[in-house]
Formats: sequence, C-alpha cells, structure tokens
Amino acid sequence: MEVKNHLHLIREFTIDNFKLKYKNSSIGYLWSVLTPLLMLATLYVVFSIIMKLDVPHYQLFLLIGIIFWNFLSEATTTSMNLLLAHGNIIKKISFPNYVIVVSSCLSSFISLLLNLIIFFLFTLIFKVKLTAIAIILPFYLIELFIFVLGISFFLSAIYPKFRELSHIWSFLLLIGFWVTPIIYRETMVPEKYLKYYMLNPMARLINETRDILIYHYTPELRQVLITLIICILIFVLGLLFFRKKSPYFAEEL
Amino acid sequence: MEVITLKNITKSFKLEHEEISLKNRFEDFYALKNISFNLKKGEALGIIGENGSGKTTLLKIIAGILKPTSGTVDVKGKLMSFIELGVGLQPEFTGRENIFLYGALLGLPRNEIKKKLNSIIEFSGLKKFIDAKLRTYSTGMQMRLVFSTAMMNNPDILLIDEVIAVGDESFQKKSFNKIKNLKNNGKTIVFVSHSMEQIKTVCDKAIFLKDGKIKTIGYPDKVISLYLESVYKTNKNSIFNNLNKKIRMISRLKKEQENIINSINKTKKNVFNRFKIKSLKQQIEKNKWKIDELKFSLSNLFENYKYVLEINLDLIQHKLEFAYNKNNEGSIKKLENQKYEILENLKNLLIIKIRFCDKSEKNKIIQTLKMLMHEQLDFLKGTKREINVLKELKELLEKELEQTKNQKIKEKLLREVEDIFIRIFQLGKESEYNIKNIKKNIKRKKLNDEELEGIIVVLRKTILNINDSIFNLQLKKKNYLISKNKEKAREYEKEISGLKQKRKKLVEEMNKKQKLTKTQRKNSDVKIISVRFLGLNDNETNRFRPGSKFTIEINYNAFKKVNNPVFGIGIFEDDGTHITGPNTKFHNFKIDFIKGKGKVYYTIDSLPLLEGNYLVTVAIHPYNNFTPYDVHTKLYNFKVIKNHIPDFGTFYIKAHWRIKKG
Repeated sequence: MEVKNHLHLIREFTIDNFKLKYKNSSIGYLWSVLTPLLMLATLYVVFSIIMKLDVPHYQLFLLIGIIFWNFLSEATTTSMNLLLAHGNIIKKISFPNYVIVVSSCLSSFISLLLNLIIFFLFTLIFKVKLTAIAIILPFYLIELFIFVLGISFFLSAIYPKFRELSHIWSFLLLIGFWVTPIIYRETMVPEKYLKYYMLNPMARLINETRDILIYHYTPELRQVLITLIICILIFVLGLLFFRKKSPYFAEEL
Repeated sequence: MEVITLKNITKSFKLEHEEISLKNRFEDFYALKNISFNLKKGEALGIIGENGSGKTTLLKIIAGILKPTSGTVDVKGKLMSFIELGVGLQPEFTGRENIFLYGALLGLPRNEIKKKLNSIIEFSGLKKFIDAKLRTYSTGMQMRLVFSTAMMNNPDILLIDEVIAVGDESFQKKSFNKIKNLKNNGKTIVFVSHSMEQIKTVCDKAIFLKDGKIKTIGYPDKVISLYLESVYKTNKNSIFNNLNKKIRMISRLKKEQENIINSINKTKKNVFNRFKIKSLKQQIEKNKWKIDELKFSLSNLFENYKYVLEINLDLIQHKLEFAYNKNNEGSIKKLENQKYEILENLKNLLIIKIRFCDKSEKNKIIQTLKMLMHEQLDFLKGTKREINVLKELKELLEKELEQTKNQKIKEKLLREVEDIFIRIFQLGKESEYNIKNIKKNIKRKKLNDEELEGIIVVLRKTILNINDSIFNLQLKKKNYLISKNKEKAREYEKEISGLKQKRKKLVEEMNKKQKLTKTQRKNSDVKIISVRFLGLNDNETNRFRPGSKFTIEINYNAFKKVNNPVFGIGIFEDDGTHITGPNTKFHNFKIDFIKGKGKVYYTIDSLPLLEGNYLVTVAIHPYNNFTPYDVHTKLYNFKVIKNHIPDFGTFYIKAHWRIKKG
C-alpha cells in the first residue's frame, strides 16, 4: 500500500516535472532532443574533421557518450536545487521526500529515452545493424539511472546547507567530461592509468553500452558485475545518506 | 485506545545570528519544551495559543514533518495534516489537474481520485472554474479546492492548523461541518484555531500553549478562559491595529474595484480590447472574493476580540465584587480602572463594527453599545470623561433615530436624546451641543410631527436650561458688581451674552421647527399658526420701549368648531421669572366659539417693562381645563430697549413721588 502510493506520487511528480519543463517554450519537447544533436554536430566537426580521430562509427560513438553524459549532468544539476524549490511542501506536508528526487531524475530519464530514439534513427542512417545482444540495453539504462539517482540523493541532501556545492559540482562535471571516454576511446589512455581510469562508472557504462549497440561485443560477465556493484553501492549510499538527513529538511530549509 | 502519544517532546532550532562572529553564531531556540499528552481514538484536541507559541511546530511534530530534538511521538493510524493548504499546488495547471496532483501528495491513488472527482468538484463549488489555470484562483478558491480534495481521503487522524480560517463564510461553515461530521464518525482530531467557538463545539480537550510549554490542559471552557485572560493582558494595546489594518485593506480593495469598473466603462468595446476587458473582469471577480474573505476574517477577529473582552469583563466584575465585599479601596480603584478600560475597548470595537455590519446586526450592536455606555457613565459620574461618553451616546442615539421607522421607538429615542442632552447641558458644556446636528437631522429627511415635536421638546428644554444658567450668571454678576469686581463681572457679562446668542439661535431653530409642524399638524382641533408682536399703529416689531403700546397677535386656526376656547399668554423674564400670565377666562373675555382662522389680540396700552429680553408663551385651551389644544412655550421673545425714562429693575411702574420737608 505504502509503496504503491509512493509510486503513484512519483508518477504524478514526474509527469508534472516533464510538463512544466517545456510548458512555456514553443518547440517544447524538441529541445530535449535538439541539445545533444547540436552538441554532437560541434564535437563531430572538431574531433573527426579537425583533429581527425580515427574511430569507427564515430557519430554513433559520440552520440551515446553525449546522451549518457547529458543525462548525468542534467539530472544531478537539477537535483541540487530540488529541496529548496519544494521547500513549501516539505515544510508543510508529511510525505516521502525522496519522491521529489526520484521523479526529477525520472523526468530527465524520459529525455534520455527520447534521445535514444534519435540514436536508433542514426543507426538506420549509418547502416549499423543491431544484434541480439542489444536486448540487454535496458539493463544498462537501469544501472545508469540508479547511479545517477544515487549521486542526486547525495547532492540534493547536501546542497541546502552547503550552497558552494553547485560551483564545485559544475567543476567536477567538467573534469568528469574529460576523464570519461566520450569523445575519445579508452584505449588511448596509457596502460598504467587504465586500471584506475576504469573505476569511473560512467566510463564503464558508456563503454559497455557502445560495445553492445555499435560494436556487437558481448560484455564479460565479470566486468558487468563490477559495474553493477559500483552503481548499486553508490545508489544505496546515496539513499541512506538522504534518509538520514531527511527528517531535518523541514527545518533546514 | 491511545492513538497519539507524545512524551517529553522538546524541539529546538538553531537560530543564526546576523553578526559575523564564528563563535556562538548559532543559538538554540526552544520552540517546544517538555510536551506530553495523549489522545484517545475519537477524541478531539484543541490547541490554542498566540502566534509563535509553538502550535504549528507541535502539529508538524505529530505529523512527522519535523523530528523532535528529544522525546517520543507515537501515532497510530492514517494521518492527514492540514498544516497549510495550498502548498504543492501547481499554478500553471488547471484546477482539475491540481486535484490529482494534490491528491497524490496526500497519498490518494489516481483511480480513487477519478472515482471521487465529481464529488470533490461538487463540494468545492468551483465547477465553473475547474478547468481554469490555478493561478487565476483567489486564495479562498485554492483553499476550497485543496480542502475538498483532502476531505475525500479517509484519514483516521486529522491535524488541522487554522486552515479553515480562510475562504469565505459559506465555505467555512461547510468545512467546519465536515470536520464536525468526521469527529462524529470517530476520527481523532487535533485542531488549531483562533475561533474559540469552533474549539468549544468540536473539542473534548484543549491545550493552552505559551512559549512552547503547556500552560494548561483540560476542558476547553476552562482552558479558553485562561487563554483569553492572558491574551488580553498582553495585547490590550494592539487590539485595534489588526482590525484597522484589515479595514484599510478592504477599503483599498473597494477603491480598486471602482477604478477597475471605471476603466472598463472607459475602454471601448472592440476586438483589440476584448482581452483587456476580460482580464479586468476577472480581476473584479477575484477582488470580490478577496473582499469577502477579508470581511469574513474581519468579523472573526471582531468576534474573537469581543469574546476576549467580554470574558475579561466578567473576570474583573467578579474580582470587583470581591473587592467591594472586602472594602479594599486600593484594589477597587485599580479594578475599576481596568473595568473602565475594557468597557472602553469593547465600546470602540463595537463602534468600528457598526460601520461594517449588516443591518440586521446593527440594531443589536447599538443596544449593546448603549448598555455599555450607560455602564461607563455610571463609572464616570463627575469626571471629565463623562462628557465624551455622553456625546458618543448622543451620536449613537441619533444614528439609531435615523434608522428606526417605528414611531413609538422613535419617540422613546427622542426622549433619550433629550435626557442625554440635558445631562450634557448640566455639565456646563452646553456649547458642545451643536445646533447644526439637529439641523442636519431635519434636513436629511422630512420629519413627521412626532419627530419634530420631539426635537422641539429638546430645544425647549435646552432653552429653559440656558435661561437657568443665564439667571445664575446674572446673579453672580450682580454680586461682583456689588463687590465692585468689575473684571469678574465683565467675564460673566461675556458669558451671559454668549449664552444669549445661543439661546437666540435655538429659539430661531425652534420657531422654524414650529412652523414646520404647524402646516403638518392635523390631530388637534385648534392650532396656533403664528404669534406676532405689534407696536404703535399695529406694526410688527419685537423691540419696544417702556411705556409704549404693546400688542400680542395670536393667529389661530380651528379645524372644527370649538366652543368656549381660552387664550392664554405668559410673559417671562430672561431668567425665567414669570411676570404675568393673563388669559381670556381670567379677564372675563368670553369667546363663544371659534371656527376656521382668526386672530386674537392682547394689548397693553403702556408696556410696564424695562430694558431686557422677554419670552412669551402662548396657549389655547378649553374653558374647563388647562390641557391645551396647542401651546407654544416660551417660543417667542421681544426686547424692551432703553428709554429716556431712567429706572432700575424690570418694571416701569407708574407712580408718583411726594416729599414733605421739615
């Protein structure tokens, strides 16, 4: 009963978030698709034509990276301000606060799904066939989601008392963008650093997704499990942290 | 079964200081201290206390929104809190969408809301606006929406924080009835309200919170009266600020409303202005709601303050009686002062209220006010403030007079006004009496005979009173003249002439009034139409010289045949001394009958009066008794001016002198 109500609330909030996001712009949902495409075009021009990186199916390669990274950056950035924005309800209505964070991430996730449709259109255009292994894509998406959610839990719970976080986080996102194989292949990273480099869950998620969608590799079970464990760990820690802090939100805001 | 149990709840907040010093930047502020109570299933608890006493914090702790710093909360059952309605609504969404959103926030599943949607909309009374965006709603409308949605949920425990103190009256009643229903259905309720009435009707228990501590807990009546006593002590000076603020807001809104209507009328109705007009009309609608809401909260405030004052009045009355018994003069004086203060506040409150209440209520309030003022007057006898209260009372009575249509009541009121005025006069402040007031009263409406006569009676009494005081002053003046204190005498002279001036005005006023009645009168057989003074050659004048010919002409009108009428005249000196009172009967001047108009003359060939002002009463009465057909008491005056015949006193008595020397 409880959980069902929570799910119900999450759905209501998510729909509202998504509706509100594009309520006052004329092209509406298109923006959530247009942004990564524009980014793709820029990066493609710079790195494929000017820098002449030699990566097979570089457009698709880039697109996956951009889509995933965009999701992370959008979801986490909005998450920081969530509690403040919903201060009124938190202070005055007794309801599960985590719902706010979940539904905000979910509405970013909807954008991600829309972007993936573009990706699949691209595979048709560039004639990259999908193989059976692509069927495990939802698994990666869920991993990505809980990872991002975990981070969002942390950020949203810390931000109300530590406003400097927004600057620090945007800086971290910038670093993250370059230490994640979005525009280059992880094979370009020197061997001795690769071990540490691959602790980055975003790097793992993006890589493995590319493997199944573009390069038709079947991922190693061991690697998959490591990714899963990292994501779950971050999710659980984030959730616990959030729950520990949540009784005090009403007075902190 | 205990549904809510609180044990030693303490809640502290960290307060951040403005000063930038890292040490002691935060200070603990205790919002709640050691709160313990429990509530059984089906019980209703009222929480009262002033703003900032911790009521809302307590509710939030029970609701689980805040975590107590120490102590334990145990709540069993599905709980719904109305800490503040309207949060969580989305202004960009329609009313309908918001029902779903708010329902979800309260934990209502979507399909359940769908099922109940119609009854929710019905209860809210917002059917017309349900598909309009929420941001076009007034707060009252939002409350309706939210409350209706929330009530469809089926909670076991309800926490209500003054939420139903918003919105207009009809919806309030509806919501309050709903709460009563829930209570009757065995729901447990914790109820914060400023309306003591509501708490009395719903609650089984009440808590009086002060500074985060439970001051009293127990039966609502007891707790409420303790609370109100304390409220009065702390707030007695600011009661009116709140009221006036609200009143100002209302009048501002009303002005705005007029402006909008004006600008709508000015705007040409064409395609370009359609939106503008539409939005203006919407604005008007919204303002209407706002005004209603304000009015309602104003009347709530009134009721509360009135209640506070009345209870405190009772308390002081008890204490006073006790003090009287003990004959403790010090405390009697103190208590009497307090009582006076409360009466004064109560009075002012009601005076404000009169301006804003319905007509039906008005009369009731006026009666209460009258009682209050009389009570105050008892206190004030012989003090400087008495006159103020008397004036207020007079104004009130005049107001009442204006409104009443019942003749008998009117007469009674006039008598009251008269009494009040005489009291004012007796206090020596007759100058405070403004003739203009009476004039206004007359101009405002055509008065009928009874009213006119009432006013005439007042005027007459006033004139008599002035006569009295002139007489007194003259005596004093004489004394000073004898003791050769010229300055003092001159002072009195001044005063006397002032009074005379006033009297003259009043007499004029009364004459005018008299003329009015004469044309309207019908219920008497004979009327005095006018009275003139005639001098030599029967020229009209009211200035005579001693020894001159003096005639009083009485114009009468007999509406039907009257047998053996008697015409009487009274001549009085300024100071009221009756000089002479002749009538046709005494003088054996027989009139067999009169019918229609006619004139009666009374002539003194040689007026034996000396310099001074004289008043004349004229009456017509039957032969056998003195109940007059008509009487004009001291309505007319004439003057006797200086003569070449020097003399002292009042009378010029024809006489001659003799002398025998040796």
